Amino acid sequence: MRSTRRFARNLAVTCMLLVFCNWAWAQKDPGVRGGIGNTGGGLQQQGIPIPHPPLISPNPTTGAPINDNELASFLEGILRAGQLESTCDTCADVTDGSPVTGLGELDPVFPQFHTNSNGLGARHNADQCFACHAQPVLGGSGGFIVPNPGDMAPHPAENPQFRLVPHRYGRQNVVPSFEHQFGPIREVRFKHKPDGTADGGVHQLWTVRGSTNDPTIPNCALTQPDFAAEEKAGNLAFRIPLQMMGLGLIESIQDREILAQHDATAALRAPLGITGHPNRSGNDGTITRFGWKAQNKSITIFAGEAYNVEMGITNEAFPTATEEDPDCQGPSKPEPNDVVRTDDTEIKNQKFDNPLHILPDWQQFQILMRFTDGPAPDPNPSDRAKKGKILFEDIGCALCHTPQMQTAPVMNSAVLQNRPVNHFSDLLVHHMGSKLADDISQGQAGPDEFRTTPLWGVGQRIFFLHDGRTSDLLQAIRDHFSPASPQYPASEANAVVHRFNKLPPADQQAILDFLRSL
Amino acid sequence: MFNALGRQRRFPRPIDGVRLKRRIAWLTLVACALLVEAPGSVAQVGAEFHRTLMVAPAQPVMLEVQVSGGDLQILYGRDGQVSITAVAKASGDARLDDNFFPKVLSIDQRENHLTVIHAPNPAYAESGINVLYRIEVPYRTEVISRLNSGHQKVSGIMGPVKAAVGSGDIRADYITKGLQAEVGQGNLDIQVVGERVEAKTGKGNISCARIPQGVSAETGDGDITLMVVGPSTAQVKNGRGRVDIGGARGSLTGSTAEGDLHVKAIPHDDWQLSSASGDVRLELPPEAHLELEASTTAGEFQIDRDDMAKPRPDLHFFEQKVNGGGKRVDVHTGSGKIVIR
Repeated sequence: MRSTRRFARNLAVTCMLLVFCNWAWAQKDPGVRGGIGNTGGGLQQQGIPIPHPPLISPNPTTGAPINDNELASFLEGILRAGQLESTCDTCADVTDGSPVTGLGELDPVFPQFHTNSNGLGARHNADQCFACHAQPVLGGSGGFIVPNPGDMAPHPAENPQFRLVPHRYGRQNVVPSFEHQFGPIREVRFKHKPDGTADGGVHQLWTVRGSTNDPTIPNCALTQPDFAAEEKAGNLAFRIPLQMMGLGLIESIQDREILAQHDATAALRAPLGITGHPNRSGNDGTITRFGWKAQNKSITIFAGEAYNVEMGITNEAFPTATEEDPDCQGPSKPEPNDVVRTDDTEIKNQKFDNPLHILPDWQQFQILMRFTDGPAPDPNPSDRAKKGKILFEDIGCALCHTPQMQTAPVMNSAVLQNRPVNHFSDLLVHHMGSKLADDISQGQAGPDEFRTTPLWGVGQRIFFLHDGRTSDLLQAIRDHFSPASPQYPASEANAVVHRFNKLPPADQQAILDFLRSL
Repeated sequence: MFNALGRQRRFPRPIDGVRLKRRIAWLTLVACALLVEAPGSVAQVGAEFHRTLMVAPAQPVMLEVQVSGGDLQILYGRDGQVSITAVAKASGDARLDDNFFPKVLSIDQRENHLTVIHAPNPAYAESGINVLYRIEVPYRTEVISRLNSGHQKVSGIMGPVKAAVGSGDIRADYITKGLQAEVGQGNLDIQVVGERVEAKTGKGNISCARIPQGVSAETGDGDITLMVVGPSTAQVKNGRGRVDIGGARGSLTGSTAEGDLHVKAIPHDDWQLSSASGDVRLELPPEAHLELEASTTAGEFQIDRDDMAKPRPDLHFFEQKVNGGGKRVDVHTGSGKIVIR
């Protein structure tokens, strides 16, 4: 009897020790490096402006810095991207050619809360670029911002799609159930059209109905898509904003570099079942590389598309509005909305002989992206993070998340040419299995294929994976695993995730620490 | 023997004693000449300096810079750090060595308050050495800078900025707060400043654009160009310098000595424009509402608008309401012409 009791007691102690050890060694995402409160909207909440996008650093190979003209375009780009869009020029708080007293027409402190630019589309996802690109700095990925900028008592920073954008200037939008106050900023694609054929396009969340600052559209009666019904039917596919940082460097990588890096790992990838392939332009056959499915060829196309799809602002690249209802576009709104400024008066052109004033906002925005530096890693990573870097490569993560590529040897811009890019991506698309599949095909990227997301900056991102389903990096890694299903092959990442899962908790932690150091 | 191109190879002849001595002497001469021409590893024609200082991102940075001579660039770089790069090049008889920057440059950091001073050192001939300082700072940086001679550029920061150059130019753009820029002799080029700009030069041109809170521009002798500005004043004190204003949004006060004065804008507020002996030209849109008062001591009027009555040629003063009247526009010239279009 006594021995039985002793056995039971020892067993209980052992179990407690095991539980404790497991708890002590349980690997955990360390969270946003620096803390959410000290990045993006967390700073804004404290009355500190969200930091500007980092200027591209001097070329580490040659020492060449950005030149004066590039710098001026970069700074003008910040100004333009910070603008809050209104639906018409004359209804903007600060209209072209008007006297300016006390309003921040040129105020690059984000978020601007006076509209000073015209073009917001009848349907849109946001009314300013930086609403969706402010984590950890302007130009970053989606994060939280203060919903009542300018008020004396700011609310905590939150998803701008929860209150700020849908209701700004009295707009009468119903917030869909998938936009949570502290959840990811989501845009929506429909998988199928009502007739069952493939859709895949973005269906903008908001309309301008009810805008109190635009007297030209009193009869606008647009309604939002029935997101609730589509969600119930399983017809929604979400995407979250990608960061804009370092895109000029990624664009400067030649196709031959991407393919050479891919070929170099062929022998290591084959036994793990990792293949991958480029998404290619249907026009010239070259590798496309921007977007969750590497569907966009260039940052110029990316910018033009974002202006039209996200803000409804038509432009030279995307000249046709997604919604042409005349009751909601205003009688005097010129199409396309944002074009190269060729007016012969200085009122709109401001200073006509200055090239910086001729370019439209969307083109300045692409120049801004071109000369924004890549995210900087932690300058003093911990020993565990250093170990994690080795493990990251040892178990095969780096076979897709290629740590480094080189830009083209000779380019028009000396600051971009012949320099390393530490972006951690092969820029190719891979089968990721049914768990991540979104049933959307774009170019040669199939419904379960995604581009290897560049990991630079992942240390300060809040949400992960294309739909922002998790803010836990560990979960994001594990969601790379997906067995074969009747519809889709197994994820190409399965073998590597298996290796990760077999690592001791301390080593898994080291990898998480490494990732948060990026 | 044939080489790859099919040509016969020529083998060198064996060297005899005399030729060997000649060759050694010749090589010695060449080596001596090279040594004389390149005076060892001490003197050099260039020197570089680079340092990155970490600053607290949550606090603004205060940067004070004094440079005796050279070019100075203070630019936005990224948050959390101040990066100082300096390059010196010597020309003529001037020489540099690795001690140049340690001897002329002092950097002091007290939390987010940085002081950078470049002072001349008697060990180096200042006249033959060109120095470029490039200081990249966080957006939230306030600047006080002084350069005795050379060009100064400030770009992309919150400010406010107080920049001075003894002899040389100042270029400043994309400053969110106010700017004071003063040059003893040289030009000022200023664009996109969020708050009030004060621009002053003893002799040189001033160009300002996109300054909603307005400009106070003054030159002893030179041209002033203001484009898309709020309430502003422009004064050319001497000489034939002209004032050119486009897209003004607020009140205007402009004056020149012998030069012309030209304004193309809508009078959103009162204007006072005068020239001692130059012409004054106004280009106003057809819909402009104003109350014009024009006078000339010895000049004449030229009205090129159908909606305005033309004054008698013998008059030196006239006033008129245009489109029912509006803001007051006072125009005067001593001996020049007043042209209204």
